[in-house]
Amino acid sequence: MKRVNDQHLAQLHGLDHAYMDTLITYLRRDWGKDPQAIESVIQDLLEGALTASQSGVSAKGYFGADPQVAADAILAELPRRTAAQWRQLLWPLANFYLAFAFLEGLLRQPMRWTLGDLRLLVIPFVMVATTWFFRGISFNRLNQRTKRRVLVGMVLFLAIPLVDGFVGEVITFPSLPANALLGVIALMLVWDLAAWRKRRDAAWWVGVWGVLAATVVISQWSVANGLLVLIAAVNIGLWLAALLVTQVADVAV
Amino acid sequence: MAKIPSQLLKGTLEGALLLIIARGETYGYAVQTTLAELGFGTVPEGTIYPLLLKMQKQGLIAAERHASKTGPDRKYYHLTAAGQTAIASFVPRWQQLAQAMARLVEAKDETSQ
Repeated sequence: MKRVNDQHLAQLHGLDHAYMDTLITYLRRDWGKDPQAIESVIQDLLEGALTASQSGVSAKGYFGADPQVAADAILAELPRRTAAQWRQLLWPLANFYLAFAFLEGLLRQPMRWTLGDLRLLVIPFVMVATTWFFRGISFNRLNQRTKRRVLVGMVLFLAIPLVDGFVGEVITFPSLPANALLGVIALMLVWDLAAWRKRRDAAWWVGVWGVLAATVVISQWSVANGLLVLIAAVNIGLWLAALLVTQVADVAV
Repeated sequence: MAKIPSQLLKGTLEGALLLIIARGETYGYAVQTTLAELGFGTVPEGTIYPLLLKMQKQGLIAAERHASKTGPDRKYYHLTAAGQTAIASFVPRWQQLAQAMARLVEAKDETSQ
């Protein structure tokens, strides 16, 4: 639905396009609301803006001079994001940062993992929160609410890495034994395998966790062999990605 | 025609929307142009749409999508039984308010003559 809405947005030009684009971005950045309901609203508004445009009415003339107030009134009527939709938003980010944290541990000399590595999981939440706080800055007129929100966002944006750095310096996190690490990896594998039925990209994460598990197991006997497995897997992954890109390019031509 | 301030429209716009939808199935932009034709002035969709959403949530109106020639599928609104009840409750109240206001304006005109 999002892709179709973007295609319809492309039918508007100039100031009308800029006006609707700002409005749509503002609506989509409200992470707390049901994204499907938001796309349904965007579909309605684009349909109205296109009809108005054909009658010679601008997007501003159609929707109003104060789009942020109207958008807030619309968002207030929409249902909240469900737990499943939150999982859908945070799942790829959690996978990425957790895999990155474990990879970082593999490359340490000597190789070790700590509970502190899990601090990287805070990053996706900071990313989601930051974009929420900064939404609305594209509007020509910034209202008081937006100014306050941006201010809070800036404070958080600066404070969270500082607090994180401070925690990293002050607290000595206990090391994570390889068995516990394998347990977390197995948990992620099971989670991604369960998601595979609904999301195709879960297959990629199953591959990443599988390679990480093999690397950790083999590294117990020989760090060099473990890293060899990892490098081989990365090379095969890159080769497969290149093959896929070439095939897609051939189909497009 | 002078623009009607949004504060003045606030309490009555929901009733006006219900009455427009009661005339027959209609869509967002058509509601906006009907309001203008009736003399409500240019009421932006940014004011109308949240009210339509609210009335849908309250079950006063229902919506269905049909294919549109202009682009995305168009949402058509129609009145529900609860909406008819809401109109039956709104109209006498509005008439009472309009008559009271008319009497006030009439009295003012007589005093000034």
